[in-house]
Amino acid sequence: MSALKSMLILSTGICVLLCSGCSERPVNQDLYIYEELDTAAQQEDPVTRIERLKRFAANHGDHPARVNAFASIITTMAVEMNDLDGALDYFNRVMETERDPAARGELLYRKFEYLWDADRDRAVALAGEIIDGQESDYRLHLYLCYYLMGEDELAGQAERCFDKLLAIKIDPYRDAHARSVYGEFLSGRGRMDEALKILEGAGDYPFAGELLGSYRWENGDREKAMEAYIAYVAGVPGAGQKVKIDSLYSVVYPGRGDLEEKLASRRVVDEGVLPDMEFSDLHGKTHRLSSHRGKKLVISAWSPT
Amino acid sequence: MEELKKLETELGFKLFLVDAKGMVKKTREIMEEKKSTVPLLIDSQSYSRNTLKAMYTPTTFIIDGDGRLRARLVGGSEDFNEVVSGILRKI
Repeated sequence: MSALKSMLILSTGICVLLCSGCSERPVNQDLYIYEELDTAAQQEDPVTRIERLKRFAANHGDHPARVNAFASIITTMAVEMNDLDGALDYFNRVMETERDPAARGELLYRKFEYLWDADRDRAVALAGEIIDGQESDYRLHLYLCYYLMGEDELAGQAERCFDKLLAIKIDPYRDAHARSVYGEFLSGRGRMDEALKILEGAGDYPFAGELLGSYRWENGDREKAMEAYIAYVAGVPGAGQKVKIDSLYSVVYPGRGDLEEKLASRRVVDEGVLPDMEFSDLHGKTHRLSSHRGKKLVISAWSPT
Repeated sequence: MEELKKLETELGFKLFLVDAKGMVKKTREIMEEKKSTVPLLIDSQSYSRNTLKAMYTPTTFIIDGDGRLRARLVGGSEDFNEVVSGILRKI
């Protein structure tokens, strides 16, 4: 009995070790995975590139970078090989097995973005299918709304897009972002009363403050306008000159000289303890955020453009 | 960012860049061209997008010593380092 118990404990231990080894990918592998993706995506010959990218996607089917590989294959087929039908067929096959909502959203967005330039009617039809369908990725819908809101003849569809976007359950910050963009859309169509209702639901989201500030200023509600402008400039430091906040503030509160203090107070928030995360850097060194506890961190999200 | 990095010791913080695009070769070229010494984190799990909620790039996040998110700044400006320094002194 005791030998059996020992065997069970030993085999359980081995299972735990094996399972943890399988599910936990060392984070510094990210660097090598993205380098492999870059190498595949930079093959000059499109046929070789597609072969390499397909091999990459097959080898890293559980890594987020697979989406970049799928997108690169679709773009290569559609643009360089002039095979739109083949690209769309490949896209449909990928979507049959892709279950991650964010990955599905990213792929659908890439398809829409491509069609927007290549075949506008198909892009609009695809947007309609997405808006009426079951996909629920926030970014996908946000980006669709951005495209649709810029075209007068698509205003009705843009509005349906915003309705769905606002119905997607997300955190307050991104909900406020969606409200801010929707408010901008309504304001641009001269529907300021509706815009105000939407923008006032955007809380302190800085970009909502720009439009709210401008509207309130024009309507003589200058103290409230300053509140909105302060929220805007506090979150977007470069915007102070754009809205001439120094001059406006001195008109509303002559001689006070406390604008900088108000902006500084407004900038400091407390959104709670962030979940921990481990990253690889460009040299393969790993960085766990919690290892810096006791020290302040400044993290800047950046894009290589 | 290099100018901000020079303030790390004086203001007691650590500066990172985070890139969610996953274009490591291009990113490395740009970093080398700019002679940047700021560590660049590869964000394969979309942490900046989903947890920090970066809606635009650049967006800068300031986290205090307890790991709490204390500020989010969109874009850059001439007085950016001054703004960041003010927040770091305040938290």
